[in-house]
Amino acid sequence: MSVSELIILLMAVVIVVGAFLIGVIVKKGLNKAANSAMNKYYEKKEQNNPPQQENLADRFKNDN
Amino acid sequence: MNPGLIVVFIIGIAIIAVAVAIGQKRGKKLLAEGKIVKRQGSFWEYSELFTTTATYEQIVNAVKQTDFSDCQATAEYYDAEKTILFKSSHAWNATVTFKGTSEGKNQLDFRFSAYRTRKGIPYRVDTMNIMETAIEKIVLSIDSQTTVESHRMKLTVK
Repeated sequence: MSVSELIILLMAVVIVVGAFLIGVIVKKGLNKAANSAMNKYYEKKEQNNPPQQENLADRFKNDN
Repeated sequence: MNPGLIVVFIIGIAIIAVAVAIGQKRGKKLLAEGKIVKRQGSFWEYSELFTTTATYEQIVNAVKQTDFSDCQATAEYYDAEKTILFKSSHAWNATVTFKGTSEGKNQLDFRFSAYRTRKGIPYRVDTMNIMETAIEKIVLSIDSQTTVESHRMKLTVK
């Protein structure tokens, strides 16, 4: 293998690893953003419509 | 189309159908046995706040007498924080925490504090339902007048 071929191979490896790392970082960022948006949405929803108290025993009625 | 590919496709569909059928059968069995109740979708994302006369100590005693092998969970007791931590081998943890008193009644918080998911769904939702149902039954066995509020938790995805 010539030196130029080795350089091309190394560059290919760097590009693949770099693309993978960028993908991981972007995925984490998107997850975080989506999660934050969902949390805000549910927080607002709970403020407008506070959870109601229910009798715990009712959960065990007609559950068959 | 390649006949071999069609056979593989049909076998794949059959395997999925069998898996779904087994899952549904298990769900019905657990429901019939009273080990789970029907719950809203994504119930694991909600914490439960019980208002009850049951005390932390009574809950601890009842937990110690309860078999959690169906959800493969073990309990650890952190009495200083008044918290019971359940660790399941099905990749989830749950906690019961004494939150204080309100109008003469105790407030106990139950939640799934950590769980691993695949495509946003925990690996074994059925075992989480078994756990939550077991805790509800414990609280009810001590105080049948217990009330409950469900709050969506702030979720952190790693």
